[in-house]
Amino acid sequence: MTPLIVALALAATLVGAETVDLSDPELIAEGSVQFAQSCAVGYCHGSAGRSARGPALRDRVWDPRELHRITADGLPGTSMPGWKSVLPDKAVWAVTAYVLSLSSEPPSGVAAIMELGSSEGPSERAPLSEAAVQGKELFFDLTRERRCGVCHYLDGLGTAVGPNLALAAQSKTRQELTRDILQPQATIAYGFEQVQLQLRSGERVEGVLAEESESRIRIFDAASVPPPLRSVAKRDVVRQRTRKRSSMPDDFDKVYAADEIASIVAYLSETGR
Amino acid sequence: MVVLTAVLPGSEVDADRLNRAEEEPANWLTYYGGYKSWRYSPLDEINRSNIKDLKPVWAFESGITDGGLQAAPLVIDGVMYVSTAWNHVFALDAATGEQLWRYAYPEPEEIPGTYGTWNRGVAVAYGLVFMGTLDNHVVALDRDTGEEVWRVEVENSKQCGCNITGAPLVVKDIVITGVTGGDSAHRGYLNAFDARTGRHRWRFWTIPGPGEPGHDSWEGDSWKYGGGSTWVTGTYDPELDLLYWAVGNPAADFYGGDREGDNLYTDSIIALDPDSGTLKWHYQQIPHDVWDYDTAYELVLLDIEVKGKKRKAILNPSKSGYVWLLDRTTGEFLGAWPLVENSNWIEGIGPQGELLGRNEPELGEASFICPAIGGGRSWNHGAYSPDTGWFYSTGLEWCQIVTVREEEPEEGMPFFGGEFEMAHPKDGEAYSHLSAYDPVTGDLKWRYKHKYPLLASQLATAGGLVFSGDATGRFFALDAENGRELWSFRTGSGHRGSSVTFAVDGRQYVATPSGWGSAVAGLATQFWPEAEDFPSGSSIFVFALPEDTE
Repeated sequence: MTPLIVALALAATLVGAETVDLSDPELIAEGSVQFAQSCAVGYCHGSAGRSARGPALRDRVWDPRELHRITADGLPGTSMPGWKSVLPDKAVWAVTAYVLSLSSEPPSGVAAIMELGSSEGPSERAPLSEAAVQGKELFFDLTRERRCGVCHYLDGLGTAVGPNLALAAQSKTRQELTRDILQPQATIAYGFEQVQLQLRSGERVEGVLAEESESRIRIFDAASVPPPLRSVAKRDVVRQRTRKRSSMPDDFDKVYAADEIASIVAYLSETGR
Repeated sequence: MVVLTAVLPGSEVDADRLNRAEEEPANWLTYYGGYKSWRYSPLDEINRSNIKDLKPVWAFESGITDGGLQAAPLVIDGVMYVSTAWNHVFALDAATGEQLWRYAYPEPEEIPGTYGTWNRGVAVAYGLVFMGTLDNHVVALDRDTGEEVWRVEVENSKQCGCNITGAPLVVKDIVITGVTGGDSAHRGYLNAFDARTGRHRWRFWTIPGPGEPGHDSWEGDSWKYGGGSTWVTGTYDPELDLLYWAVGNPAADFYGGDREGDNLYTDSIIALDPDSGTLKWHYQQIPHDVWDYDTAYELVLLDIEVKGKKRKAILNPSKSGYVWLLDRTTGEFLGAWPLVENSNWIEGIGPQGELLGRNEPELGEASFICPAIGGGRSWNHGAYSPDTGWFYSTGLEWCQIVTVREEEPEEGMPFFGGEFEMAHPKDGEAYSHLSAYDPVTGDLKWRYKHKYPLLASQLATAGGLVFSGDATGRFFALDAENGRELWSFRTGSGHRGSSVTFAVDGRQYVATPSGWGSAVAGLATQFWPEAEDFPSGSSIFVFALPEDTE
């Protein structure tokens, strides 16, 4: 087949699919900005791919799809992270195009036309209201030692000690969510009743049971923020009991102001939609 | 041969043993060998007259080579504890290398990419081995079995863009950990946990919050994302009961336009009450840093005469290529001196510690700045020998072209505010050296030069030796008096960790990690393309004199 026919055949298969042209200067420029912020930074691949902790990327020959795959998925077992959860596929291709532009054999012509994958970038959902945006910030505000995210994992952030609030938020009204925050003893999520261990040493550990094996019990120790996940040998446990109590502290009215609680509830409520 | 019997071997490592770690030369009890952070041993069986007979007695390969091996092994009562990249921990028979147990931290789904997967060491006390993790947890393992006893997440590492690479420090009954994140939009801290339970004791924010003294040294909301990491292990003075830590650079590293002010307590030495975490004094070496010149390196405690007056001093080398000396009781500035010849970020340091002639990179312009981002020295630690009274340290003669750009912080994401490209110094090729200095005046005693960056720690011994290693895999010993190389051995991969010495049944051993890797090691490839082929590795080599040699 002549190149023209190949091009036509390729073009035919791509009809209807969104494509990128890896030799497009605009795409390369877009990729260079992204590369500077995400890949060149500090100690990774170095300015214009000159190398640092990561390998030099310039002056190499790449299979464009393989380079895109590595950029999107990362390299397991190495420090190279996957970017598909952070960047939309088009941005991953833009970075790919930029790195290819530094190559000794940058792709051109039809070899540079690639089909965009379904966007696996940051998940898109209905935008949060202003109050919910503020609520999310408060929920995960790292400048506070006490915050919801210390014990609750949501939206890929925080720590999973307490129950999954996305599920709770689906079935609860805002009033119920507010009560759950301010009066944690009023209703206790299934499986999150407080476990109390009396240890041979005289110490008592109370908190959320994480895991139990034949020889050990792993429990989030609620006496501390953040709660350590302690692994106790069963032979060191004198007594174990489960109490109809929540391990959640009951002073969140002092941690957050009333309007801040309302924002957090708005965030939870909208997240559960 | 020094023999001390103050402590019964095999007894629990507790506060008392830690406070007097230097009195146990058979052991390497803490990250720096003791709270003085001298990285010095009074062992002298191996010395300058017999070093030529030093032979390998065992080697151990961890197999975890990504990121190299950057740790300082601990040796306690005949057992070596060493951590590798990806938070694997090994307990080895220190005399034979036989593996006693292995712990593998579960590989996290996502890791903050900026700070690597490596680990620089563990702490041991109260029957537990403590380690910070690549996803910002602290774990405690049973010292005898390697079983996990507690684990705590300091902060979601994906959100903070930070983790823990430095060795924890145990003081009294608490374990203290620092954090990376100085090049991310993150607010730094130190955390203290109850050593036995993992319960949180206190947090010290390295950037004061609203209403706290020093908060007004930050513009607007910049304090929320201002860096201030604590990534290298600090130390403690049991007599003064003060905990010392050196705080890293402000973020964004190169662009300071959105954080006008001194940016406390970045690039500062802080002294805290270890029981409460409250600040006792601070001294800021570099107000409003725009060069990424962390001062977050080791803190060496020296009782030393300065200008005719006996001082309890603290010495702190910095990425800026300068070494600061303060009074560790009060934080008073006693002096500062340069480790490197290639330095143009300031013209000098005045008698009150003031920075003279600041050469700040201009927004949008390509500025030639020395030393480079890898530092006038990297984090690998110097050594102090009380025999010579000298401080031994590496120095890196390299520069960079920095292009500063404005950058909006995005929580947990890299926040450099610019890009850099490595550059040779104006008058010749980049190179490095290992040198001996008077710790008070900085007077140069001798200099050992090397083509590639020297990135391993120094170890000084009463045998008149200074041990270190190079990028090509040579582990070597220099004469502490004159810097002459007396011995070397090729371990197969470059040196980036901290060698230690110890004794088992009266026989002295020297142990070195071997395993090229790390961020700064990677920068070398911009000068020397062949450095990209320097193999990574992750092994421990242990040396001793043949048993019939005395």
